[in-house]
Amino acid sequence: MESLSISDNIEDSQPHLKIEKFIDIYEDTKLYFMFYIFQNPNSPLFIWVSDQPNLNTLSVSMKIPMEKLPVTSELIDSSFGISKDSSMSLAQRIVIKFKVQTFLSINISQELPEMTHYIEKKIFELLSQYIPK
Amino acid sequence: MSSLLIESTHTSVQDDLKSNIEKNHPVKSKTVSKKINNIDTDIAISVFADTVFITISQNQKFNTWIKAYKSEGVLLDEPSYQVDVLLGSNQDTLLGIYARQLIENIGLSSRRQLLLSISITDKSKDSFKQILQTIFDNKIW
Repeated sequence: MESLSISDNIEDSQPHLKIEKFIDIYEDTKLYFMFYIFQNPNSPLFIWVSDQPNLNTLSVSMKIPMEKLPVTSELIDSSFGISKDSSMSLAQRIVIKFKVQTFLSINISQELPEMTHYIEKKIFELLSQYIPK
Repeated sequence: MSSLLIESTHTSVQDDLKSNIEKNHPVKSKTVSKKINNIDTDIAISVFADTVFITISQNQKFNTWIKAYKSEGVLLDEPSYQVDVLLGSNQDTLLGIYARQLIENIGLSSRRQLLLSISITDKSKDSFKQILQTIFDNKIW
């Protein structure tokens, strides 16, 4: 029978991935942010924003040759909360600004244009702070 | 000397702020970085109310995204597992096996589904065992 023991050639290494979190309040709604950021500035980003602790939407946006605007696709579709269009266009704008492939999960119970605008501003502000120049 | 003091106070305030956010944030996370078979491997686990999100990366990318969940058997006691590739290669059986092993383990103690982003350059059996063992040693679900 083959041994299931794990050989001991594991050692700690320098982390290349960091997770940044942030909590904010917009009017009466608590907003939670989370960012996965690799050390390589060309690596993709994962961004999660929600007013509840679920991960039930996911879209990806990236720049491709021949297309002027980043292309966006929905990987996990949710009929709940913020509209698909708002979420996908936000992912596109993040790609335009930060020039890397972006995975975005945004799940806000109510769609208020002012709140969506506020979230976008906050994401841009936090990413500018977290991504090394 | 004084600038050193200011810097140290600033770092401590930032640390306090970070730990306060971590304490109040509803999503618990853990990152582990290891050299596995001499390859830098970054693993991140975040536990949401409905999902365990696991990232395994050996090249600072997300590459393949897989969703997996457990369904309880109705007629038989045996549960069944559904593994779906959301993005990336659905030809690579090994990635599906990673997802299957992880959702089976998650399913033992939680009803959460799995979202896995996986980008591995070392597809050896030894590496597979070590990566899974590292995740199970650091599980927070």
